[in-house]
Amino acid sequence: MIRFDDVSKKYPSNVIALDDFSCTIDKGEFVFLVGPSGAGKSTVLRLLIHDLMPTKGSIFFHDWELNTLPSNKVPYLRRKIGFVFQDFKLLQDRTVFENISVALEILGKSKEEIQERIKEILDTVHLEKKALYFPRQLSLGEQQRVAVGRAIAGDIEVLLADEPTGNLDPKTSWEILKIINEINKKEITIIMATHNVDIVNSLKKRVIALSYGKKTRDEKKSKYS
Amino acid sequence: MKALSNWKRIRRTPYQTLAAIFMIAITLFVLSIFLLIAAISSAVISYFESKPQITVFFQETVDKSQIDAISGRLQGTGKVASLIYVSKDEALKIYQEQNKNDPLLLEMVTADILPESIEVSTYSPSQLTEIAEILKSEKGIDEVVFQKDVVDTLISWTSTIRKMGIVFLVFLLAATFFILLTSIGMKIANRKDEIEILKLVGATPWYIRRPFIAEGLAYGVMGAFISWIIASGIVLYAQPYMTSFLQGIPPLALFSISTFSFHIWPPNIYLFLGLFLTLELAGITIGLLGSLLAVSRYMKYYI
Repeated sequence: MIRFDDVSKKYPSNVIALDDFSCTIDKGEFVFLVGPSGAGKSTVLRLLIHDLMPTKGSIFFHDWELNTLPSNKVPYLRRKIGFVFQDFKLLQDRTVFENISVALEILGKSKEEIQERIKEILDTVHLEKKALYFPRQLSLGEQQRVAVGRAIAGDIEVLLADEPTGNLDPKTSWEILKIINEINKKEITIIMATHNVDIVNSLKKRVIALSYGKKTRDEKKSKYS
Repeated sequence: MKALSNWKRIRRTPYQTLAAIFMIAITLFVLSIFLLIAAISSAVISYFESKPQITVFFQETVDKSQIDAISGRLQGTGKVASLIYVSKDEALKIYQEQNKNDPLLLEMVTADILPESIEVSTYSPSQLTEIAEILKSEKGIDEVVFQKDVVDTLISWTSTIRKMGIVFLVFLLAATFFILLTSIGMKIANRKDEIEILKLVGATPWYIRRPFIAEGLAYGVMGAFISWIIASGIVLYAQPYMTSFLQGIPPLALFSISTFSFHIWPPNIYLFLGLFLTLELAGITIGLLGSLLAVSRYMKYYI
């Protein structure tokens, strides 16, 4: 479903973020991207949503080649790929309901459809009673759950998570991971960049390790190091 | 996006919004005054142009057969579009109509002292000189009056007004666009977080642009409405002065479609309706162009 073919990314400052990176990820897989800061984990994720363009090589999502994807197709690519950030990126002046609703309104769904879908999502992320709260009234873990809810609200096939537990304590991190694991059970592919050794070691999923932009390891049912 | 309506957003940043709306209103108000002056003056000019171009007054000694002979010779040139004979009695009627409010003037004048005349129109103004040449050689003519002099004066006045109006409007339009650009540009910048998220979840660029363009349109519609209210007020206020200024001139039609003619003066429902539609159209165009410009200018950084 996702394929990187000898992909390199060089930033204008001549920093090589990714160096001849290749890999294939199938539907329904759960992949951890691990490695120190600046290893190129975020670059991989941003390349996938067409936020960055590779300097060399090609990236495929199904049969779409992202290098040559016309810009008017990019929104439709992004509707298939949800994204969760370390800093949540929630709108502070909107309620939980409205924050999630954004991802559904752009699809042109009716009010009733939106209400029904948000109810399901709040159920999945365990925020049934917080629909009308504003982000600042929520704990960090709850805010991240709202962000996950927004990411999966549409009809996605892949969920990308960039250090989703980076700002959270261990217990809250586990709550998020449980939710992400549940989402994975619905055949949604998960690619998660993380530093969290505990989580990677206990879940025993596929691990792709990066160092200075190079792939150093790619093992099924693996550990952090 | 929909959760925050345009109205809510306008209420949250009232000063920028008011600046944009008032600027559009001022520009459109000047436009409407300019259009009214242009329309009225062009109607006045076409009224004068539709009047006979030459009026020939005859001396007392001339009798009807001589006048008929001169008329015949003029028509023989093939350049006369119309020729109307005005007898002494008809001249008296016209005189009485023009001075019906002044009994003293009416008493003093009888049909005898008024001259007979013919009113001549040609197909084109250039033919007037030829007619004038013919008239010079005829005997018994007291005076020849050209309408052309009156029309020329009016045309030179209106063309001056038109030029000044256009220069003034260009400046105002430029200022309006700059204000729209900064006002909508600021709003785009203020909402860059939201725009970023919308892009990430897969909103199309048009979906993101739409509310900003709708806002520009709303400014245009509101600005046009304000300018219409002010312009209409001024038209009604100026009506008595204008009526005395335009005395003797029949209702001015700007154009006619079969039996309906669009009268620009005196003020009537069609004038206000036409003004409203024109201003709204102009307001919508300005709002749309301004917001499209702002969106294409500022969205580059955020989309």
